Amino acid sequence: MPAIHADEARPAGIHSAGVRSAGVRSAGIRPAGMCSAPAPSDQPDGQPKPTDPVHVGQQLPPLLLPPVNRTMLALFAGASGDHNPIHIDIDFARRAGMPDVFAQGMLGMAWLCRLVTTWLPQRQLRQVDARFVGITHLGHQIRCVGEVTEIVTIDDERCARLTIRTVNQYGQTRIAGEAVVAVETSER
Amino acid sequence: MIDRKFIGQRLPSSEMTLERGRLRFFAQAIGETDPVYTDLAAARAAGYRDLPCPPTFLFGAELDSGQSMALLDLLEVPIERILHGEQRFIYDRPAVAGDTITVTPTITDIYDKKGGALEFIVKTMEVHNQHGERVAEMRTVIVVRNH
Repeated sequence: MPAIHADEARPAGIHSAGVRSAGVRSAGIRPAGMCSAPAPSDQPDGQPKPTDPVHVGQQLPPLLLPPVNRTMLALFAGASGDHNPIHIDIDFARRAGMPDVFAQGMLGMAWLCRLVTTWLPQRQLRQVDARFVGITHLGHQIRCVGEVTEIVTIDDERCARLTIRTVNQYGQTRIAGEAVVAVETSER
Repeated sequence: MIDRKFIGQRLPSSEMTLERGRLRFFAQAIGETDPVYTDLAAARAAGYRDLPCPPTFLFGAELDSGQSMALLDLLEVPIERILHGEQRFIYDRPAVAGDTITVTPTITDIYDKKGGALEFIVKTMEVHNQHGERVAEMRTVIVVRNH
């Protein structure tokens, strides 16, 4: 269930999200005043090098999104086809007992997929799972993070299993999930 | 309580033709910066026949067709009580602009927790392209908040 009441600030969390050398990518929709990439990187695009094979414990370059606002939710409603008014109509949201509109779960999942497909091409993505553990509210600034947890062979393919999650600026996980990505060339 | 007789019920399919403009709109809406998703030349250079369908876009086929809402009507669940609990995608092959995908859903489970305060609807959807090849499987868990 979404942790609707669990938004007390916990300032520590976000810095422990775990980034070593990779730079932070920012989103395309970036309002004025958003911080830019703080750390230089020798792998700006996050692509593994031949000399740097995918390995357990590897962190994906995180993806930092601008704070959630109403325009983002309206555009995503139209683009995704999710016209549920609870995400775009404050009157409807209040009648449903919510303090305001909130982000579509699938918007956060789309961001998580961007995290993965920026790291390795989409054609290597085999599976992605998401659990929507807490509501992403207006003003939440989401960081998508991921880590390789296992290298496994699935259907004769060498794959990396990742844990992925979205975290807001208070360190609260909003979406937790997993992805499976082929890490060797495969024709698909 | 949602009638458990619906478990196993196959639901009407939804068809969706992937349009370049819509895929670009989706890419913009999620802040996508990789030109593979918006620039035809970049997509072709990456080995795609046309703009690739982003991983989660397939979820929209049933939203566009109205089948997602029809399911709620069938199960007599008010939309303001639902939340998206979980979502899975398993990918078999890419879909690109110009493809027509067909999404065929089945209600695979209905259960409750906390003495019925929360009910869960599990829907599994097979996605095929116009050649009858499976593109993906999607699995959705919808949470219903009963008061």
